[in-house]
Amino acid sequence: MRYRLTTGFFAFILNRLSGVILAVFLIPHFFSLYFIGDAARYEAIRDFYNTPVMRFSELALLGIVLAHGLNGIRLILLEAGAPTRLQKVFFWTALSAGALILLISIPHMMWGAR
Amino acid sequence: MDKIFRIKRFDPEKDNAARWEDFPVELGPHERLLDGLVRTKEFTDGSLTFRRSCAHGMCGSCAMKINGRSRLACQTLAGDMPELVVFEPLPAFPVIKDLVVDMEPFFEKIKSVMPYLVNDEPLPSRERPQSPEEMEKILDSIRCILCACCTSSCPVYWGDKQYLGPAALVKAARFVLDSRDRGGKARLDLVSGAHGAARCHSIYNCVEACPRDIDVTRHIAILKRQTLKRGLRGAR
Amino acid sequence: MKKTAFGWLLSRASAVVLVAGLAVHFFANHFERPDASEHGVVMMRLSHPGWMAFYAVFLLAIIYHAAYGLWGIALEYLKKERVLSAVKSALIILSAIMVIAGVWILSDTQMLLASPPAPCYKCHKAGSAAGAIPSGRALRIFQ
Repeated sequence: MRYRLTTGFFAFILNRLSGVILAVFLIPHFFSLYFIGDAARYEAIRDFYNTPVMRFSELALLGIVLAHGLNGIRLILLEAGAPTRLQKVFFWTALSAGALILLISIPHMMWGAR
Repeated sequence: MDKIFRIKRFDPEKDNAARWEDFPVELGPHERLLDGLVRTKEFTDGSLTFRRSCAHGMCGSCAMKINGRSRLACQTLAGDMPELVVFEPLPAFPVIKDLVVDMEPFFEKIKSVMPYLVNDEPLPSRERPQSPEEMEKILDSIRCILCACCTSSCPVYWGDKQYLGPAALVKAARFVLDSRDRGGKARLDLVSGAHGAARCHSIYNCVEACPRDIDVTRHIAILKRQTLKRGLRGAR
Repeated sequence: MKKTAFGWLLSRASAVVLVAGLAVHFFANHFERPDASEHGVVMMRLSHPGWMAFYAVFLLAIIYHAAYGLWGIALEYLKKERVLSAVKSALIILSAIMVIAGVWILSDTQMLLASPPAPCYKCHKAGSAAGAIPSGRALRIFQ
């Protein structure tokens, strides 16, 4: 039997995974901006990002950013002295806030004009 | 109340790898799991090996992983457990036999943070007094019984055996917060290395595992902030 | 040597910058207007010194934060000193490359903005005679 998955452990795994994904994402992100000096190439890349698969990936990216960022706020508050008894409340608040923002963003991210 | 004790067994003289063994145990709802272990050893299988001493949650000997969580067998009531109770040795420490682990790596970490009062000032006539307010600051951390439930439950420690771990950090905080102690600076330096307090990622497994209800993570956060304060102040 | 925990403080400080910055960055490039990430619009935004300052700070914060985070993971899971020091060097080099790339991208937009007439991708695409062909460094190197 593995160790029981606690709220904090789950948040930690989520933060680690999202952090690594975001760090790796920086490389293609910078690379696609490398052509910003060339409007035609830039727009070609932008057309590629406009395909449904890439739009969904961007939505997923927003989700990962929200998970990492909002949980990050939770961790900073706790390290700064917020009481331990609030750590689970903070986590579920961060998660619901992130889910809500993600949900609201779906129409625009997937089908909004670009 | 009938329980099944599923125990992870390992005898270094006979076994190549750990194996599981089930024992039926009869326990009243107000009896502790340790009672069941003792009974199993006495009446069913004398070779079953585990540590125990006080059986009252004061010594920390019977810490083990029970149903996926580090805790004291003597503090867990049978009535609070499902029918199947799974016993494993504490995670992250080398297994010696059955439920007995090698605690030496754990005590090494404790010893490395100067776990004693440092004060070279001349002794007052009777004792070094503390006000009730000053005592309040260490009331939480002095309850630690060194059972290693916290350190063995810490996902960071599972991966990083150099990490001081929650127990050693609580011990350091206990003296950093002690109004009589003068070794704070040296102790802060000891816990602020790469494998010190900064490795704590506020996972709170330690807080949930602690049989003494110590707010472990809060103490580690205090060490982080005190180290930072010391850096900002530009102290020697 | 005295330990300061400045690295830890910086990672938390950069985290705060990033949370606020990412909200601005994401909103500006996706939500502010339908054509928010179009070349001309991005260039217009970057012609403002405030945005340039924002992205300069944002760049440093994100590279530091990512490097600190990855280094923390390396510290926890890599046991051999030699592997660890190799990862450290790799992270430092990679961070330097990313900062240089970021500065390069930002400076490229400024060069583009400085070369008149103002770039207009829409006109360019339509093949209009009025459409200026933008000439950033990328264009000169890759064409």
